[in-house]
Parts: sequence; structure tokens; C-alpha cells
Amino acid sequence: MRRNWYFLLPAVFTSIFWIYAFYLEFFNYPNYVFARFHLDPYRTAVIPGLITAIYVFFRTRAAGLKTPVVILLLLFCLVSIPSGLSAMGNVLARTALAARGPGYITAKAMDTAYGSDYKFLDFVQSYIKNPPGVKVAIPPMSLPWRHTGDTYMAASFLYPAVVTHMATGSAFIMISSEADGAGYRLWPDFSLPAKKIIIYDWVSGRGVEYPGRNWNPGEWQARHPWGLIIPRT
Amino acid sequence: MLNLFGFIALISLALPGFLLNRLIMGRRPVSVALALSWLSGSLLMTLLIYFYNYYLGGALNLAVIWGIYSVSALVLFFLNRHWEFGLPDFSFKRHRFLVLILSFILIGEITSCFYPVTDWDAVTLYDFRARIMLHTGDIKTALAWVNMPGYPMYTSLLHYWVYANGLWTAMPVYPLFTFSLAAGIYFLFRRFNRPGISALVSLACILAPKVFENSFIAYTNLPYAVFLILGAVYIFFWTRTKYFPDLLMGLIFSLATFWVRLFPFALVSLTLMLLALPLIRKNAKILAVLAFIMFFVICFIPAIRPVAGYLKWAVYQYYLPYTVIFAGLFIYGLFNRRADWYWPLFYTGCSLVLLIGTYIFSRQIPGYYQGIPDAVRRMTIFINLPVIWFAAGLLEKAKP
Repeated sequence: MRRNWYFLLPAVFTSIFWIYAFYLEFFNYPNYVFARFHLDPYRTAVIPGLITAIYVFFRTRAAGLKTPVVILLLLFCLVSIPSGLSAMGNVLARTALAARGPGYITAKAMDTAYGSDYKFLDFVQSYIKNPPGVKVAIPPMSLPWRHTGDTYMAASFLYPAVVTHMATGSAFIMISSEADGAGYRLWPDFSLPAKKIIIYDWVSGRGVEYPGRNWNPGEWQARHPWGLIIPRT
Repeated sequence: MLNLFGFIALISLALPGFLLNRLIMGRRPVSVALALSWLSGSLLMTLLIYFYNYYLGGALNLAVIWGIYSVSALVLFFLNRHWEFGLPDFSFKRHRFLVLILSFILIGEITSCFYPVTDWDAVTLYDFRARIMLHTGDIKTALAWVNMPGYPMYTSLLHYWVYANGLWTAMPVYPLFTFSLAAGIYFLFRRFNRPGISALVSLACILAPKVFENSFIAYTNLPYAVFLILGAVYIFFWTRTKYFPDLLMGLIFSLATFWVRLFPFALVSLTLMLLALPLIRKNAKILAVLAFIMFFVICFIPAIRPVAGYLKWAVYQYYLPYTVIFAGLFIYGLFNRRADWYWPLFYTGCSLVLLIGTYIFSRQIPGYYQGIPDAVRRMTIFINLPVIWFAAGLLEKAKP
């Protein structure tokens, strides 16, 4: 009986430790625990599972259970307990994050998924003010424009505007300095006559307007601008 | 306030689902009907909304969808009138392990109300279609707008339901699938085992790789896995008991998978209905061995070998130790007279479908499949659950 406690207490304490490690992982960002403490919680979570398995082994042997049943219970400890600890850490982290309100979580979740690019897409959507079917030209669907050049993503963010990769005939042309996965390359990389250029200010979240100015990429190259061009037709 | 109404509206899908389950299951205990009520309700309501808009051409709005809800609930209530409706015989003390598991999932459900939809596939397809429907009230416009019109509408219509009812995010939809899986498996396994063991099997199922984490991802993989596995479980019961409502539930859930994603894995459980025939059942062990050998032979066909190598790495090695446990149980089953071969056949059948399906996909877009191992892992999150059921079969005390 005393031997049970030798394993039960370590099983409980190590489980709490790994739940906390997973909590940190889910609360902060993927790979946080390894980056901070050089401990991979996913690979090492089998430790509390193993200790619990030893405890279960002694308990089931004392209870006189059949060998296949004991083996299955041990496998459950080794396989499911690590997943269970991860799930508990996940739910705890989600609860702690939820306590900060949907605004905080939305910003954090969107930032994790798309960086800050979603803020720019939200700005474009609010600027064009929803006339259904208005055409917005976006950069080509290739790197470095991972998000701003993504037809599917831009179509979703800019709905009900229609997204196209053709500048000709578009009511708006997106300016993107996104450099994700490849070197910086300003788009549009060609000159065009414009009624207005709107440059997105990342600090205030608003657009700074330059009316009656044609688009010439050479002039803007060094400023890494993001924004919109209203072309002169 | 609107958010609370939206949340209640989401949960309220359980009412027509419960009435539908009760109608099909008849005198069986209320607990299973209740456990799977949300799942059946979501299926019924999405199909009715789709039929009303796509085939009858009626515009969708809040009044219309609640009209459809009310009519279907009233019709089902009328059809159920000969059954007695009492409170289920549910003892919290007796089912304390299940209550603990479900409470844990419910905490996840509540936290989901604070999270936005961020996953790429959802943002660009499933959730996007729901937002278009909210704007236009029309499914055909939504299908025409998105670039991938071939995907079934199930989760998009669920998103539409929550948005139309004022909930700002559709994320609370997904933990409800884990809830249904946990509660459904518990009460189904409970038919022939103790509550403690049933809770252990239920827990093992939701803690299988990628299942629980998909409760917080707005993809179709978890709904697909839940329908597929519950359908397979019901067909498994039917092959043993020949109880007609089990067959009906199995067929509904298996066919429902095609309403979630167009993957053909449900064909395996539908084929395994043949195990109800005494001749096939008698030779199930030989069939399982033959299917296993056939799978390996196909793996070594030169044209398929690269695909098999890829799946070995992307799926079977990734899901270790489940693959090894399955192999061990398979060998153990060969020497155990009591082993039921339904689950090994299901596992091998799904593996065959996966192999052939990936091969066909690799012919359509050469090389592309190798770049998306995460997608094939998500697609096959159900593959470890038959292993758990096969193992749990060894704990069986009596026939269901």
C-alpha cells in the first residue's frame, strides 16, 4: 500500500508540472517552453504517463486483473495521459486568455495566424466602403506577397469587393510592401496615372491621402509603403 | 445579449436532434438520444436550410431559419407523440467520470465564444461562405463567389446559423463535436460495460492524436471524424444485434460524412454491413488477414510505392504508437477466439481507401500531395479510434 504512494505522489506532481508547461506553451506561442526553458513538453510528457503507468501496474496487479487488461491500461497511461495533460494546459490557457476579453484574443489570434497584415486588409476593406462588385487589384499570388497577394484570403477580407490580379479596369490597386518568405519587392512595380494615392499609417491605422499624384514606384521604394491607388481612367 | 441568444440558438439545435433520435431509437434509453441530439439536430437543420434555399429558392434570414426550425421540431414532436417523455434516468454519481469529461469540454466550449475564426481554410471558404449567405441570403451566390464550390455546405451552414442568430464567432460550434463524440461513445460503449471503463474508452477517443485540438480549429476534419466513427460504431452494433434502429443511425451518420467532406471512408463502414451475413461473419478473421495482405501487396506495386512510402511517413509513423498497438492487437486477435474483426477490417479498409485515394490524387496533381502532410494527418484523425475500439473490445463483458 505504501508503495502506491511512492508512485502516486510523483505522478500527481509531474502531471501538474507538465500541465503548467503546456499552459505556458498555449498561453504564449508555439515552442515557447522550449525557447525559454529548453524543455520540449510534447516529447517529455510521457514521463508523468510512465510514472502513472507504474502506479497503475501495482494497483491492477494487486486487484488481480487479467494481463491483457493490465497491458491496455498501461498503454492508456503511456499514450493518453500526455495528450490529456496537453489538453488540460490548452483549456487552462484558453480560460486565462478569455478572461482578458475577445478584443485581446482576436488581436492575438489574428496576429499569430497572419502577422499584422490583417490590420492592413481591414483598413482596405473599410476604406473602399463596400460598394458590391468594386474591383480591387492585388499583388501576384506569389512570394513575397504571402497574404496581400493571396486571392482567397484577400477575397474573404475585402468582401463584397471583387479581387483581381489585373490592374487594368480596377477601381483600386493595392500597394504592398509585404516581404514574407522572399526579399522585399514593392508592388505595383510599374508606374501608372492616379487620381489619388492613399498610404496606410501603421501607427494610427488611418490612410494619408496624396491627391493628384501619379504612382511611380521609384519614388516610394525606400519608404516601404502600404496603401491604395485610385487609378485615373 | 445578442451573443447569449446566439449561443443558446446554437445549443438549441439539440431539440430537433433529440426528437429525431428518439423517433429512430424508439424505446432505447433516452441517454444516447440526448448525447447525440446536437449532432443529429445540426445535421437535420443544415440539410433543411440547404433544401429550402437551394431547391425551393426561398431567401434565408433569421425569421425563415427559425420557421424551418419550428416546423421541423413540431413535426418531429407530433411523430413522437406515442413515446413517453420523462427525464432521463441519469445519476451524476454513477456517471461522475463522464460528467467530469464533459465539464472539461464545456469549459473549452465557453472559451471558444471569445475566439475569432482564423484558420486559413475557414477564413477563405467555410466561414467566408457563411458571411456571404448572411449578406445575400442565398447559398448559390455564396457557392458562385468562392473559388472552391465543390465542398459540401455543412459547416458553412452551421456558421451561418450562429451568425444569423447574433453570435460574433462560429468557434463554439466545434467543441460540440468533441462533446457529442465523448458522450456518444460513452453511452454506446456503456451498453456492454461498466461506467468507469466506458469513461476510459470515451476519454481515450477524445485524447487520440489531433482529436481534442481540432475542437478549437474551424475545419471540417473533426465533424467528419465524429460522423464517421459514430456511424461505424452503430453499424458495428447492428452487425452483432441486428437491431434495426442501430442500422438506421449507422446509415444516417455514415452518409452524413458526405455532407461534411467528400472523402470516401464511409464506404468502408457501409461495406462492413456485410458482416451481418453469417457466412461473412464466420470468415471475418480470414477476410481481415486477406485485407491486410492485400494492403501490403498494393503498397509494393511500383506505381503506388512512392505514395505508400509517403503515407508511411506522413500518417502511420506520425500516429505511432497507435500503428504498433494495432499490429500487436491484430496478432493477439489471431489467437483470441473472442476477438471481433469488425474494427481491424475497418482500419485496414480505411488504410486501403487512403492509399488508393492518395494515389489517384497524386495522378491528378503530381507531386502536390507530398507538400501537404499536415492535411493528410488532419484528414485521418479518425484512424486511431478503431484501434481504441478494437482494444476496448477485449474488455467486453457481455454482448450488447
